[in-house]
Amino acid sequence: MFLVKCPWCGWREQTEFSYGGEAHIARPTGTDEISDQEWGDYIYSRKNTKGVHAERWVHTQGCGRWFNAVRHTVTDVMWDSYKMGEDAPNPPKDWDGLSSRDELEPSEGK
Amino acid sequence: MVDAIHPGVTADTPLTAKTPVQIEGLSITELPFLGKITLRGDAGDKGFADAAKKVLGVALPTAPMSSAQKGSIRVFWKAFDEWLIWTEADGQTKLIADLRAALDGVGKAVVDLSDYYTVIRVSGSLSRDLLTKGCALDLHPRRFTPGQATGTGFHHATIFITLVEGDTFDVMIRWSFADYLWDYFADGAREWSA
Repeated sequence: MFLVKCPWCGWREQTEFSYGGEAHIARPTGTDEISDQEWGDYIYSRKNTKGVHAERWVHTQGCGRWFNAVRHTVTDVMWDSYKMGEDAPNPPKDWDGLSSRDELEPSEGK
Repeated sequence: MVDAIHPGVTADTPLTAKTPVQIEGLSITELPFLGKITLRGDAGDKGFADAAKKVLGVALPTAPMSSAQKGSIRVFWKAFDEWLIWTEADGQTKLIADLRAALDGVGKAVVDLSDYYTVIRVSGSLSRDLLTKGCALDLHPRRFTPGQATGTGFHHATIFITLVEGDTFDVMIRWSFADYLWDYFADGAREWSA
C-alpha cells in the first residue's frame, strides 16, 4: 500500500482511491475511417512503463473526482498529482523515485 | 422505534435496536433522520452561489474539507462542485423545494439523500482512539480541526466524517453499512468497558 495525493484533499491512503490506468490517451478522431489496428491500439495498447508514469486516479471514498498523477512504478512513490487538463508535473531527470515533490520542495503549511 | 416525526407514524433506522455506548470517556449515539441533501453546481457561477447562499443563510464553502453552519443547517464541501447539506430531521423537504425554486434556470442538481445515510455521533476523550482503529485519516486536533469534514474509509466502510467541536465527531454512513460500522465501534469500545 502507498499514499496517493488528491489535488483537493491532499495525501491519503491508497485504499481511498481507484486506479484508472495510463493518462493522456486521446480518443482517436475519425472513428469511421481508422483501421482496426489503430482502434485496437487505442483500446488495448499501453506502455507498461518501468519508472515515471502518468496515470489516472479517482478519489472514490473522498471527493469522488478524477485526476492525474505521476508515480514511480518501481518504488510506488507518487511525485505529484494534477488536475485533468493540466500538464504533467515532471520530476527532475535524476529523481530517485524515493521522495515526493512535497517532501523535496516543501511549501509552508502542508 | 423512534418517535413519530409525522403524528401516528413511527420509523426505524438500521440502528434502532442498538444500545448506545455510554462509558467513561466515550459516547456513541445515533443522530437519526437528519435531513441530507446533495447540492451540485458551479461555485464560480455567481447566480448559483448567490441563490444557494440566500436559501442556506451561509455561503457555500469552497476550500477543500471545509464547512459552514447556520442554525440547524450544516453545509460541507464534498468536492469542488458538490456540497453535502445536513438539516434537522424532516427539514429537507422544504429546503429542497426552496433550493430548487431559488436555482430555477441555473445549472444544478439537488438530491434528497436523507434515507440513504444515517449519522453516528462519537464523542468523549476516547473518540480519537476509537476512530483511529479503522480510519487512517490524521485526526490529531492540530490536523483535523472543528468544522473540517471529508469522505474517507473506516475499515471496509466508506464514511463521511466531521469534527463538530472538541472531541465530538459526526460520522455519516450508508444505511446498509450502518450495522457494520456500529458493531465495529461497539466492539472497539469494549477494551474500555468496565
